[in-house]
Amino acid sequence: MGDRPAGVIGEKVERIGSRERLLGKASFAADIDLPEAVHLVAVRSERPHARIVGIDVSRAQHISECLRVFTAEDVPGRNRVGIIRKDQPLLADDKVRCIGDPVALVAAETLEAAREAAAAIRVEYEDISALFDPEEALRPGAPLVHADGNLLGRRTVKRGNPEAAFKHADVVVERVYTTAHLEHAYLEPDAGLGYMDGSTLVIHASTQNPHYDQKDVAELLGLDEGSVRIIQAATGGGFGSKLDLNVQGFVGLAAYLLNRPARMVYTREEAFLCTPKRHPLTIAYKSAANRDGRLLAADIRVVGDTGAYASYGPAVLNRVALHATGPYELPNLFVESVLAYTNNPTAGAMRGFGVPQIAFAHESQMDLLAAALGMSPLEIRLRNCYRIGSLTASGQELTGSVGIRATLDAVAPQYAAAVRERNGTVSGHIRRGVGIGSMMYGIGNTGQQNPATAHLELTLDGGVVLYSGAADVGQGSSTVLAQIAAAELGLQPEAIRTVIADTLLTTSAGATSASRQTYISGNAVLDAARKLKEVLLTEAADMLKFDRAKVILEHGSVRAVRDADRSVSFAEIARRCHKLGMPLKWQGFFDPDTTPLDLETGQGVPYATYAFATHVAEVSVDTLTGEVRCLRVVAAHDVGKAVNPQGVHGQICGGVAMGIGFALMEEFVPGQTESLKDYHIPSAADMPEVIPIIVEDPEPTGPFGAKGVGEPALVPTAPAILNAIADALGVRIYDLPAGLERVLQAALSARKP
Amino acid sequence: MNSFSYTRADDVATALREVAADGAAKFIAGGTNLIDLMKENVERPSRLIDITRLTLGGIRPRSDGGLRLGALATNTDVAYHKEIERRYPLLSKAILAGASPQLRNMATVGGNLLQRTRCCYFYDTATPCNKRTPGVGCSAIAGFNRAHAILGTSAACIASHPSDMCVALAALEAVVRVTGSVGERVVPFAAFHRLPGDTPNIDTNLQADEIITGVDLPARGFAEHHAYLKIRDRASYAFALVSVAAALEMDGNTITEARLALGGVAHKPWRDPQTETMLHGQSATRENFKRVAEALLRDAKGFGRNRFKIELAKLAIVRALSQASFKEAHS
Amino acid sequence: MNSKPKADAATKATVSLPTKNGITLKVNGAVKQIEIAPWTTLLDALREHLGLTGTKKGCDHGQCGACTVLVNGKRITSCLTLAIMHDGAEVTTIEGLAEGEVLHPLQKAFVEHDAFQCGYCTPGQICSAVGLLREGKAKSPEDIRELMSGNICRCGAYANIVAAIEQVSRMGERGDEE
Repeated sequence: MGDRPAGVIGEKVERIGSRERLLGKASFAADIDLPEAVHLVAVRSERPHARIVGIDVSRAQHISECLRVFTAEDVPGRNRVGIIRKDQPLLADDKVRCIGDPVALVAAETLEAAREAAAAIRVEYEDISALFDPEEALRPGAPLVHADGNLLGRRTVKRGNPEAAFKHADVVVERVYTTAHLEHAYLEPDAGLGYMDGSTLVIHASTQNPHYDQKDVAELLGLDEGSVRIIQAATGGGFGSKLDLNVQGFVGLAAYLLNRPARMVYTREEAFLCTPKRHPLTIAYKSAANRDGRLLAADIRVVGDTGAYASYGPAVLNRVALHATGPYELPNLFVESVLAYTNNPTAGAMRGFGVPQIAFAHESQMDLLAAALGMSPLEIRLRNCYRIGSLTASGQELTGSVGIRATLDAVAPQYAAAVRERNGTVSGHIRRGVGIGSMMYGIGNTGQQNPATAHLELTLDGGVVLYSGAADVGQGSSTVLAQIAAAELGLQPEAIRTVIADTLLTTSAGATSASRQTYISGNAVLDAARKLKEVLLTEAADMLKFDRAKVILEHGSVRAVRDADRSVSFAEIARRCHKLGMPLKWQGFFDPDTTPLDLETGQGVPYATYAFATHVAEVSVDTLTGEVRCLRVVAAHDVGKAVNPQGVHGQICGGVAMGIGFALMEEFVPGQTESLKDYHIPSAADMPEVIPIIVEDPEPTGPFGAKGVGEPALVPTAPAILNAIADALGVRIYDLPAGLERVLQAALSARKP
Repeated sequence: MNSFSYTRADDVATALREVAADGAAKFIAGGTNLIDLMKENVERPSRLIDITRLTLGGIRPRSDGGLRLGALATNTDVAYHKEIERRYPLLSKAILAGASPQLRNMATVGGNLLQRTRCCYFYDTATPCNKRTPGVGCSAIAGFNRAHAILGTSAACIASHPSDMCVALAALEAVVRVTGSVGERVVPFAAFHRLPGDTPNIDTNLQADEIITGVDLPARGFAEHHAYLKIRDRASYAFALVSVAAALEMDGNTITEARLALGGVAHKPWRDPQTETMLHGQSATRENFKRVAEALLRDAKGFGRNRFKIELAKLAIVRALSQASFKEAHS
Repeated sequence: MNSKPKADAATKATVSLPTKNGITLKVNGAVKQIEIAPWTTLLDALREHLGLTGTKKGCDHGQCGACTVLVNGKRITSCLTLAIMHDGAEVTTIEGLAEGEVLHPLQKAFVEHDAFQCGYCTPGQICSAVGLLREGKAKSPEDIRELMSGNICRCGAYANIVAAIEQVSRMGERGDEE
């Protein structure tokens, strides 16, 4: 492997797209200049659950600049969208299922006219009793949100004999945990622009998932996929919410039916009201250990509110069940995870797909068990954490890259130091606390095929172009993919030109979700690079009349290992291949090795590899006001291999920020906290010192050993903070967010004898 | 935003004439609250009278030893003014605890006094709100009200006043100078804002034909013994759940004068001078602070999610008084 | 501005009003004359009338800081102010900080420190930081964090943003060359 240039894998590389972002020149969807575009505004339901009796658009049609009002009957194809289950109308037909459901779409020459027309439309409703509580929704006789019942899905995981194990356990801890709806609050509100290019509908969109968008838009309009082209615009964050269709269906419908460019930009209020949220879960968790701290059994029952439509709910309910144990061996296990439809806002994908919620529960349980056993929180995790040969909740044997122990070891000195410091800091009403949070995270989709493809092309001038459908929403996948291609081809990353996330020019890489692009698209790129490299080496050896085994790639040339003068440039090879009629563009492919889960027991191989992490959080708690400051987070992450360590650090710091929000302040209350004034996310002033530690336990099947970090970065922070608050107060909080009132109440109850 | 006409006034007299001529006209200066409310369709003025070119800026000494803050002085001007920092650090700290630097660069003294509640129902025209439309009911009383008032509420409204600056001004017993068609008058700070009562739609005692020209700070600034404590959901850039401006004069460990103003708990900056006198002649002890905190909150009433604020306010008062009782080390 | 149906949103002012006023702005050093309605915010004037889309609309309510620009040298949220009120003012946006291909020191520091991910809040962060350095009130990283708290970054690049600003601050860069 002597032909891999230094400074590519594991080195600092400038993020692709930096310059235009710093200069204000990056084209986000709302920035694309197309003056003739019509403006779209949706008319949205203000009822949570109601039959639509009639829609009166007459007043809107009299507004001079209003061009057209679309309703469900204007949708030419199938008026249902959804990544997993097609249960969501683009425009409501028979009824609305939540506040914010789109009922009509107005197209007008100006945004003002579109708003005015939207406000002039009168919708007559007949209310249906609405459901806001998932447990209520599952009761027999409850009103139906969807005709086939309110149960979105149920996943069970069964191993061993938990009932018997509980009987023989030395300690049993049983608690109920709850979490709130959360809003992604990406800074860029959803936006898109569509137009007809001949017979092709082109949509520039803020998206995490262009190839899915293409399918659903085509089906909505009754077109073939080839007639729809999605181009990802610069995307201002997604965190899961831009996996679903947001504006794409609307701009597609209007541009196609009006044969005019159409633009739609959500207001911040719409981004709050009409895009998926993190699932609020109620988690009843019972777990048991023996005297020496070994976990024996767990019985975990989760009920969640998936809101009006499925979105990524099915993925969340699976992932919650499979991650319910955390990174610990549990021979006897029963998990049941249930999600119910309600008339609340739709909950879908949000960084971690339910794992941040369940990790809050499993990590609280670990500390409770440790306390009951008089054991340190670090020790109980060390005794139970996965190692090579461990069986997961789904019975999957872990055969490599099991870095959980290494992350615990990595934070152990800092943990000990933090505990010492806490013991030495006694300051009246300010209490210090230290907490640990650990996690595992399955990379890629759960128990199903989720391949990625990528292409590498050698151009006649010797350049290399990388084509990938993987949407980069700020997490830096384009940079990582270019690094992987460059490393394999003996180039520097900046020498690779990239064509990203355009359905006409790139093939599907699957969604930017599940922390999967480095591992899956990275492997696809590597596969393509190997194929291209093979051609380069073979042709060069032929041209140089030299032994194929004794030539290497270097800086855009192939040369003899021991004789730098005997070389041939990529350009020369390209021209020769071209002349011989050989292909210059190679496809790479990767699909992680998984098996479907058994329907009853949840056993199987849901993920090909897992990321692991441990955070240590130090907090100060003001026992007189309930204010919590997170002072420091030490974050050790087993990423397999950090292809781009600076990017990994960025993900970790960003994950910690989001974790602080989840732990301490974020609560989306439908209808009430629908602005950044009322829904607080951390600002710079809330940030602790973050000390990222990269642990590299190489994944044998990963590109250069890499796994993923996007979601893992967030998962352990909130559990660590909550454990730290409990450490500070001696009283534990079971409901998130741990806002002032909850912390104050805990502090007051701690003071009572 | 609704459409409206725009004029720029060059002097106070013109501004007053123009506002009198159109019942639905409004003055605009920093605009940070008004434009936000216009975007939400809560405010729909027919005309905006731009008063930013009036000569109402600046901060000047007064003959009685106090300072006059021009109505158009920005939050930044006031907070970082050398004399304010030196003599009225309570005011400086309160201002810097509010909003963001960008907003403080825009927002003015007069506008700060006239800013409206951030109650989410007041902002949401799809829900009933007596402050927006008298008589339709209050959505907050049985709603999501953790940020709402616990003191001086009425059956019509439990909105809280959002200002930090005004809490300090209340403690400092500032005086608001206003000019109207009938001439100039001065309004003691405590009489400027109103409790909701049956007319929660009226926030202040400023008349429709009046304009704030300035705010006078009395000579006493409590620079030695003061504290502004703000408790909120994140470390910065959030409205107060509870804030306390505490100002003391002390002789040794004996309190000779005490001022306490609370923010985030009432429809106006909350003062109870009668209760404050409990501290006069008392020593600065936690016990005494607790007694006054209990007394100040004796009539407090929670409405579900905001009940925690009663206890929180008491604890915050004790904390602020303790901090204030330590002599401020001038930097 | 709310797309949610509002009880009283349908009533429009019925009087006919002057809808366009001419104003002059000196934007990034160039004098620009535009015709705008009184209700056009400075943010919309920059984006829609002057084609300067580098300034971002994140919330349109002054709650995120993405629209931060400098007006007469001071940082403000351009979404909460009317363009018409700034007739004659000097406005500096993200597009006006670099000199040709030469990045502003803060832009350079943002690259070096990887002080962004998605890049949507970045123009506002950088303009805000220019204002911050000029104000001269930030003496420590804690001060920078507090005085940058009006610029929200959901990607959470705060540590790197603060490091980038601190670096430029130490260089004595006043950020006021426009």
